[in-house]
Amino acid sequence: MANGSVTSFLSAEGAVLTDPGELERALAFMWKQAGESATVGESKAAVSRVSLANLVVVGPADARDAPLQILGELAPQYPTRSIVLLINSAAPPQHQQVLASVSALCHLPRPGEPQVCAEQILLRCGPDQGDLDRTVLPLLEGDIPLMVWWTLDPGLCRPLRSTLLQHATRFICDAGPAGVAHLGELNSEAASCVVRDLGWYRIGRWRELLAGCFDTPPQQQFLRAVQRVRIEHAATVTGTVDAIWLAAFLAGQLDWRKPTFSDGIFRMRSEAQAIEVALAATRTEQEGIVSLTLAASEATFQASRRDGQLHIVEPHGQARSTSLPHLSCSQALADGLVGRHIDLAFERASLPARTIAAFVSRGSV
Amino acid sequence: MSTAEAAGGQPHIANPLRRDLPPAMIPVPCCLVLFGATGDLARRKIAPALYNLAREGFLPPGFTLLGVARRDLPDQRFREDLLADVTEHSRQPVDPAVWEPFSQGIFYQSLRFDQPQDYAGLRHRLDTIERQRPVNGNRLYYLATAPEFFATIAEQLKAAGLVTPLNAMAFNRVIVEKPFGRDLNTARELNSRLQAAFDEKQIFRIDHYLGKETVQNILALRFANAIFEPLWNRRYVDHVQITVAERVGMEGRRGQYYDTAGALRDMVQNHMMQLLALTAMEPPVAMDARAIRDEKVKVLRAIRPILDGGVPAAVRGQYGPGSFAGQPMPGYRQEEAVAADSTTQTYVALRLFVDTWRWSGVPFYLRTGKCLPKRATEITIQFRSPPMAMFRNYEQLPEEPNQLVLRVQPDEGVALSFEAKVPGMRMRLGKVKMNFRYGSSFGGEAPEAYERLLLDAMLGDSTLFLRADEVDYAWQIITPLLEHWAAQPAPPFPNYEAGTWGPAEADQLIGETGVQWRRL
Repeated sequence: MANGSVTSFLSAEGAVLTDPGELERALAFMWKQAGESATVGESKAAVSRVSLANLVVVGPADARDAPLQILGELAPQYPTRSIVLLINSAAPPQHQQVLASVSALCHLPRPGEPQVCAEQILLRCGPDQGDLDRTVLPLLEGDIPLMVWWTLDPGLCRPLRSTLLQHATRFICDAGPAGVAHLGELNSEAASCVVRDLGWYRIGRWRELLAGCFDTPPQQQFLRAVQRVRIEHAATVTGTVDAIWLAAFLAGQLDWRKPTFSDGIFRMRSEAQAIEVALAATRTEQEGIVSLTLAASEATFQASRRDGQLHIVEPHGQARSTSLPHLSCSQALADGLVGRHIDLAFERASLPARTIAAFVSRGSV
Repeated sequence: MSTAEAAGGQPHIANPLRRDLPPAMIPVPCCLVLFGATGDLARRKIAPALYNLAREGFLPPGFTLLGVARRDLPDQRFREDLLADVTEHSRQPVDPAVWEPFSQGIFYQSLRFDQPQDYAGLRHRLDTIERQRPVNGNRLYYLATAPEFFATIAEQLKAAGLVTPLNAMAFNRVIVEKPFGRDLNTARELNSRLQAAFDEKQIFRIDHYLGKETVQNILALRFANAIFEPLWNRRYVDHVQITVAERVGMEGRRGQYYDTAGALRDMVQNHMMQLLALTAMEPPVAMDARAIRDEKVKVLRAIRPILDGGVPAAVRGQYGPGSFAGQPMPGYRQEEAVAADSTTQTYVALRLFVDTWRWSGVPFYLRTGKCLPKRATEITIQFRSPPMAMFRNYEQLPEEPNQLVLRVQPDEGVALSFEAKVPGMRMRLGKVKMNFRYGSSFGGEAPEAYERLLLDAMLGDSTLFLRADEVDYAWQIITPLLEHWAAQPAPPFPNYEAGTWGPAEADQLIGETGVQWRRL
């Protein structure tokens, strides 16, 4: 295995990390090389290094490719110094070493312009021996915010999680229903950090489009009379989380309270009546939410997504469609990283989401 | 005017699902009545902007467009024409899945702008459409016509009962294009006639420069950062240059309009006055339409009359034939639809002073022209030289003071130049640049100006639109110069070659204070 020489950090295997300065030297070497070799057309042009923030990504080692691909898509939208920690929970406890490597994510904003690059530090390690936070903090670039994208089981790496919550500007949890269920705990540990779940941003367009369907008084009257909700979603972790958040959004905005669960149905109460909410997983090639049905006693609203379109049937029969392309994870993450600091709609949805997610993550649903 | 509009805000939203969603992004449904629907502006700018808003999901379900013009067209033909225009001019390709539902809300009504009976027909048509479409009585009239029709249309709408909202929750607004008058008197008359028909809060006067991301960024740069404001004044700023340079001359038959206007009316009175106001204004007490526009008006009021002392610090020019890379370029008088003896100015350079505590004694140099060597819109803050030339005994004196350049277009961004030591054994200085570029610093594509402005008008946010007094004060500054030039003997035009940086007199104007125009 390569030793601590600078160039060894530039290889895919990386090198054993013993000093944070080694990585900074490796990065400086990498940028110097990149600047010398970058060309634009016939002339040499400098490479632009851009970081809007530090982005610490914590995830399981066996999902390595997925976050790296997403970061590659994210870089043009939101370039960061990304520090990716891949935790191998199955490694033996005596496996203390951290392997590190550095690379750059580059894109060309326009033909003829210099490349724009963001740097990536990849750290691979065993289960948290309690000092990962001390490993990560020195690697952060000064003077820019710290963002966290947490995809690990929220019960793991608690010291690291706690430290990041103390220092971060935003903490985006992306750990499935268990992550949603833990939002309360994460909030209690956060100092001034904004804690969100990625699913909330994945359904951002659903929320906007749905709100736009109920702008007239007759439509609002229908909303007040809704008694049953059915959300069909892809039978995947993200589909389930998206459905949880959509149900929670409706509950938060319409003041449906006290969710309980029985016979496969969530039950809540508005001022006027009881509401039943069903989350139905369905095998489909689509991702996320497939359809939403709101039923009152005498009318039904339905919105179903097909082929990048949202097909809507209003309570009184009028049908129309509007664009609803699939939102990639990188797009949702970019939305989450620049999202509002105070999001009252999220706050209202948070409690019902946590309650529903707790049932889901226990396997009750 | 609805109750909510009287309070200056959006109509009250009773939809609980909209509670605390990011504000002001998706407006309530409305019917956009587009006067001049078959004209150039509607086809090249407005229709593509509406399509892109639809594509990005910013148009609410139920948004309706009623095109209005003199020609007789069936709805379907108008939709097809619009599709062709959007296909050609949209910044994004047309997606049939977006166009299809969007086009279902497009209609057309033939109307003669000065015929009252035609407005009765318009009213009837609107009533019919609004029974089918969920716009709840919200109407946005867009006057994208020749300017001589602005007041007439407003008055006819009023007479036809089409200005008063149908219910307490509905809004009626009017967007008025530029030019807003030809001089102070005509602008005041237009304002007066518009305000007789609509309340000021219903009137949205467009200056599309205000819709540009980079122009809005002037406020962000100045007021979201603490480091610039302490330097943004007469103690540290030597002068300010504002340049709007166009490489092209008259495209198509644009000369027909331009020959009646000239650079002073076409660029200086509106766009450049806005850039100057945003650069020179005091921090507003709030980031809202009223506070921002109040501060801009204060700047315009404080601009010293151009004819102070009788001789204006102003240069006018007209391009003559020239060439670029061996290719001949026609002169202005050779352009289509331009009079062979035209005395219209295609170039203007001005020196203005803003007589406030902040800017007393700091010259603002404005220049704009057609057929200049390159296209560029920039604001340059040139700072004073250091109080001591500490490096004069070394090999290289600092040649240029620090400059903060706000690039509005192209290559949108901000650059700060400063002196740094050149690596080596000797103390040599070199000028370096810290450069922020929109294109490489943020992901995603910025919306076009008209997209932003149309959305804001639907949302009822007038921050990026001109208030009546803004327009009035801008004309108060420009009109005396127009009258002065009109009273002078015919100028010796053309006085600069196409493809050069304007008449020599412009260099002399700025050279009087020992500075020179920034090389773009």
